[in-house]
Amino acid sequence: MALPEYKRTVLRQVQQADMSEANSWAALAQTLDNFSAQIGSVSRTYQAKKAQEAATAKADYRWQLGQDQAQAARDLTAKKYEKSQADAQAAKDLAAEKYKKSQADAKAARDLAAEKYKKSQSDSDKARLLAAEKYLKSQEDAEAARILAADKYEKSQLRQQEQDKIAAERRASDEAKRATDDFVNAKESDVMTTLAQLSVDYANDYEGYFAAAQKLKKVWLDNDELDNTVGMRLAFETLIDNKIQQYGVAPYEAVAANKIEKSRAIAETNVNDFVTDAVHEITQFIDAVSTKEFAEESELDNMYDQQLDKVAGKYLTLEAKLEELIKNNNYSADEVIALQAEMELDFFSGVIKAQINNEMKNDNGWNAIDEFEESPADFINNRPHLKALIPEGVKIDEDMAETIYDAIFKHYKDTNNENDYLQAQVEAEDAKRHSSNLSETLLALAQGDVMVTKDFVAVLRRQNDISPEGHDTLIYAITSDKYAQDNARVVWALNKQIVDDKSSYQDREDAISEAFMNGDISIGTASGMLTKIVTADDINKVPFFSIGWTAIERGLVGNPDMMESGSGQVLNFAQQEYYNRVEGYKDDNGVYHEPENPQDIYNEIIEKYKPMMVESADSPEVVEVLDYPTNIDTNFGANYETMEFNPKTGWNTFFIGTPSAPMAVQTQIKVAHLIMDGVITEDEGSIILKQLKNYMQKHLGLD
Amino acid sequence: MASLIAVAAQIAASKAAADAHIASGEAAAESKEAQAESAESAAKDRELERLIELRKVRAAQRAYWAAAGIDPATGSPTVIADRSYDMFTLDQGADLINTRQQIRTFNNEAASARKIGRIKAKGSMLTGLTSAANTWNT
Repeated sequence: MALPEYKRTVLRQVQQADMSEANSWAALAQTLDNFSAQIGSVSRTYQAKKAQEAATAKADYRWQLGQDQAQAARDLTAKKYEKSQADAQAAKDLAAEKYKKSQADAKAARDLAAEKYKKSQSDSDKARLLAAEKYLKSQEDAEAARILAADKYEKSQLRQQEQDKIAAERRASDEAKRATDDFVNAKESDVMTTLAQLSVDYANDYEGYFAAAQKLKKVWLDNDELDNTVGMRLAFETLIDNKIQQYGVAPYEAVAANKIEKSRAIAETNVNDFVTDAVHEITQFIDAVSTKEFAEESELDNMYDQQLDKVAGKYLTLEAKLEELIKNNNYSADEVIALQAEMELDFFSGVIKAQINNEMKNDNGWNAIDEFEESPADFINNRPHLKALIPEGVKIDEDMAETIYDAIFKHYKDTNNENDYLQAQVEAEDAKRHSSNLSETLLALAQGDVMVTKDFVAVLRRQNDISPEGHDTLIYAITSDKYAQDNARVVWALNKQIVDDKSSYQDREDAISEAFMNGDISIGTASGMLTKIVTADDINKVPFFSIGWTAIERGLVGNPDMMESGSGQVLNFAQQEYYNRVEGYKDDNGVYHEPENPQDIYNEIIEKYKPMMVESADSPEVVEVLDYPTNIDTNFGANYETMEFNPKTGWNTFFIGTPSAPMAVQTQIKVAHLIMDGVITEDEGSIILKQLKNYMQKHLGLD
Repeated sequence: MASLIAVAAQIAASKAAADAHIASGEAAAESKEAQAESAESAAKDRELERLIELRKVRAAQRAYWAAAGIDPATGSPTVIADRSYDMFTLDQGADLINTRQQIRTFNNEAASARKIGRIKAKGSMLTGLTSAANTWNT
């Protein structure tokens, strides 16, 4: 049966907004709006009445003014009529006088015109005679001009005929050249495109290209149009020949290069195979020497010398093969040097590697590599059989030695790393299994499982199901006080290590075991942490988890090394909530909550727990943040100086309420206010709260 | 003469409406005050139920430890017992806050109802006077 505990039933509720005051103001506003509208109406009615009276007075005044103006107008019209009659009579008299004068002027004008007509008749006759003379003269000039123009025309016709003939000949010549150019140009694109395609199609077959090009040439020249214009066939044929030659260059060179490349590849493969074979034989020779199969000093047979001559001759054979290869395959100077260096490197590298492989078999490999790195010459000279393999005059230079060393070192380092990695993985698997088993066993022990005995723990250790440290931890748990209190700072440090992806499983288990055996954490805490050792790695891989974890630490305590016990507990609560929410968890009601994004929640968690850091810096237990009302009257009950504490009943007159109806929450708030205002110290507040707690336990019948 | 009678009648009617608004506000306020008292009583009932529950839990815890042969006065049992008490005090605090808010809201609403009644009464009087002024002008 699970241990019953009091479960909270009351949660803070968000009350509906208190709109009472707002409603009363709204009513007042509405009333004033109504009054405003009504008083406006009264005002408008009054204004309308006044406006009506003013309009009536104004209309009367205007009527009288109109009557006066009409009489004045009538008088003025009568005066104007009389004056107009007089003006009309005067105008008539003036018009009669003007008529008489105009009759006299007309007569004088007619007389003057008659005289002018007579004079004009005489001037006209003179002008007609002069014009007749001018006409005769102009007729004579015109005849002379016509004769001259006819001569000029005849000459110009002759010149024009000659020019037309020359131009026609030039046009015919130009036309033939243009036709030839047009034809050749038009065909040139076709020829170039087709031949370019042919050079691609026959990129590595010059003969095929040439044959195909000749066929095309025949088709292109089989065209009657070429004979219609002089020189066109010759020009076109020249073009085709030039282009066939131009586009044939690439296939020709490709074929030649291909032949050289194939030839070189065959030759180089042959040399490579030779080097491989030589190295193989040398390896066998070195192994035989190492196992004393061939002895240098043996005089009974000369197998050693025979074998030595045989493998030593490999180098000379290699050189001869290289010389032949270079001579027959047209290598450039740079290619010759590179090829020779590569082959010799392979050869000597094979010789040295064969020796070191042999040393490896005798557990002297790394020493041999070290010796070679120190001095390749000494490495060779200290081994007579090796020295004998390298002809005199041939030296392994520094670059070659370095390259050989790097290749050998990398080869053996990689091999060694693989072994190390494998071993590390095996150890990590063991550590995970050990932690998981230790966690389960500790949990079983905490739940009173009688199966967990010293013998049982010993069996676990023998089967390698728990680590030696886990074994010690379990023995300690069986024989010690199971009700250790958690040290907040230690819990914080362990949590930090668990989510630190740089620490190994074994490091984490060791740290938890040590904390448990030091009495810094309880069995339950140790068991929970051991479970988290494995799952924490998955959490660590969630993006931003570490950032959020550190942000909570900094946001709540700044420097964790300086934090106090109460603050540490709050920080642990906060980071535990963060961990659970990122991982996903089941609450007390068994409801599963999906994992959340660390970035979305860490700020919220900091804000949630921050107030507790201030109020509970020295409080040993912090459970939840509550926003208590602030309007508690701290004058209720006695003050700290005058309060009286009754040890018998436990009642302190400082408390709010009465002994029969104490008000615990209000008293707690009163204490908090007085501490915040500096009226009492935190120690004094703690004493009162302890007294209050004791009194309430008695009062509620819980003692 | 007729205008004078109409004016007097309008003023009298607005006085009656004002009295009605004040009475209405008072009735609404008394209703809210009754609700506030009711909320306080309900809070006391809930407190009693929680206390009974806490006692049951504590008794069950003691029985559990007794059966297991564990001393309830030392070690983890005291922590667990204290935690139950602390949970209880947290419930008390939360309920206190909730109830205080309810009561404060009801009392505010009662005061507001009275205030609104008086405002509406004055509004009625002003309406009567302005109507009378309009009648006199026409």
